[in-house]
Amino acid sequence: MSEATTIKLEKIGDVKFRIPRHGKMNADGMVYASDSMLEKIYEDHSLDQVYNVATLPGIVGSSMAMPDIHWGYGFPIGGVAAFSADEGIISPGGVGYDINCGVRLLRTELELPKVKGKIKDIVSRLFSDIPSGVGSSRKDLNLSFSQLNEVLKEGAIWAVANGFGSHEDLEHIETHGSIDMADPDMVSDKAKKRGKNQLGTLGSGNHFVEVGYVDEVYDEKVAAAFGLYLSGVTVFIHTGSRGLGHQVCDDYIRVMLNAARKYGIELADKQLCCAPFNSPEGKEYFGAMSAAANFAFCNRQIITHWVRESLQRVLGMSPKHLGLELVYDVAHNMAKLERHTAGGKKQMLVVHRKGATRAFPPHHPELPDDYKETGQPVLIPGDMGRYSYVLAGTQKAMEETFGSTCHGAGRLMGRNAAIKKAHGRDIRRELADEGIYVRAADSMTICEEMPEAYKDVSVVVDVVQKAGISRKVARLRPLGVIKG
Amino acid sequence: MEYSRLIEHTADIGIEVWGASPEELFEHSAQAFFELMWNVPVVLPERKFDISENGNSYEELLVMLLSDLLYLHEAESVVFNRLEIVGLTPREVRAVAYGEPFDGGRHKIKTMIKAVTYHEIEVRQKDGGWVVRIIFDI
Repeated sequence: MSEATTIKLEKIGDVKFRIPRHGKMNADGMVYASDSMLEKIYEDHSLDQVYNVATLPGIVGSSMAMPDIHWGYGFPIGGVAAFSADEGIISPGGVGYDINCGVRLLRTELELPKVKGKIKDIVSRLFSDIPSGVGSSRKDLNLSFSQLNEVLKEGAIWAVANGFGSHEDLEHIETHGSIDMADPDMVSDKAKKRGKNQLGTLGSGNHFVEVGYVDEVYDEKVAAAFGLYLSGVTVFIHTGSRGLGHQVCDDYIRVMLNAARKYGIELADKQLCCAPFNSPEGKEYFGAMSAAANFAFCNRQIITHWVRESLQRVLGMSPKHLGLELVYDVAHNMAKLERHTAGGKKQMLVVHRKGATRAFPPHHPELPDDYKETGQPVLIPGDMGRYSYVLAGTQKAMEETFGSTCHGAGRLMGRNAAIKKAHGRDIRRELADEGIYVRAADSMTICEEMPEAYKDVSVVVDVVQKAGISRKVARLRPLGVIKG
Repeated sequence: MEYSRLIEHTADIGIEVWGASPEELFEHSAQAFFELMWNVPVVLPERKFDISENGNSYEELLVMLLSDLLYLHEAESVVFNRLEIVGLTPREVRAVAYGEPFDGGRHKIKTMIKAVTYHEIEVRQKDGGWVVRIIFDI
């Protein structure tokens, strides 16, 4: 991890670099970044990982990295790679452990002055209503194994059918919050046992619920279509498939290590283990991964319901007056079967996005009617002290990156380095002085997650805007955050 | 002598572990793993957990063993203070872990780990002993 990479980048555009196909690569590498980002990118081994992904069988287009690229295990974080559904592979390492870790954004009818004096009450209420941290869960949500199987099959549809949110919400979730290829039977009992009590929980680390407001609008028309307006209060929810997803990934890495041997796939790194998409192992993983993704969609939907209840209670407002509606819900860690035009022909591809967001353009058939003209909302959370962005998908993303873009800021410091940096300081107080109220299950989490530990997300967003693979719609500033 | 050290990476965390034999390397790895996750000295060895795995290499077996411990911790809500290797070959590991149910009053979780990764893992012989680096997803 300490030696520098030997991979050389060739600049082919303002914010676009190519790793020409060489060695064992089956395709080029393509990195979206600004010149100033390169030093940091060269430092870690993420470019070697872009190279390694390009060696996998059946890769279509190039092995890509978004500007928030950093070293992952196997595939880089910020990596996008598509494989032919007929001749290519599927890899759990190309999805990650937190399957369908993702974000959703809610908008409200509230303007900033209405909540400014109440932010402490709101955050405290959210903190007590939404389980976060180690082993916490709500007593009023106790799933049986058969109910858990329904969740795995139906995703957010299960949540809505059981009183968590409305049918309108489903329209505003990637794949309507339910992947129909999910197969709960492919999820091990271990994974089910690990995740059973974790539905409706936030988890730890970088997962959060954040109350904020729109502080800048770049495209009023699109922002209005998304329900966003200057000074409008918003809520971000960031979590995933919890222990269930982690276990699914773990179980199938074991399966894929054997499968790679069986199918004679040479691996540059064990964590890239994979199987042909069409093999029994590939299909089983796809069924299990999709089921875990449904768990995550359902998780965010249930938490959304509790966020609504919490705000209604604290502000004493009806759901109608509050207008806490879902703007959109996007996945960050997924492999999806999608139709794309590549090499001049339409084909079904298994698009792996690991720490990357789907960003479909206007008029894509997957988009709901109200976003047909705007393109898909793309949600890019930053750190808890600065800002987050709302972008929109573009046609260029569809042509260049299989409809994909960046997913966040990316860490600048390790967790221990952040704790050291925070030593002797009161990060909670520093944030409070800036008008941001934070609650966390563990005070150490606030140090690990302090704003300085992250890169400035605006730099990442500027690259994808310049590259034309998404465009800026609005910027949000945090007011209050609960951390796992 | 110190038998492990923390490796820090920007987004993840890992450990480098030493042992005089493969058995000791596995035991030390489990110990370092426990110490990363909770305050080990206050954990009592009240219950015994038998773990066994088959695999193709020391690397696979070590990741599987630590993953099993992580699973038990999360699914059964237990914390451990010690692991003993009963049998080890490059194809099979048998171990006993000692611990007790998690008690929020006494036990403190230091780091929540999502998974034990296979990333660049390599068990190798060095200076008459054995060494390994393991990266965790957190």
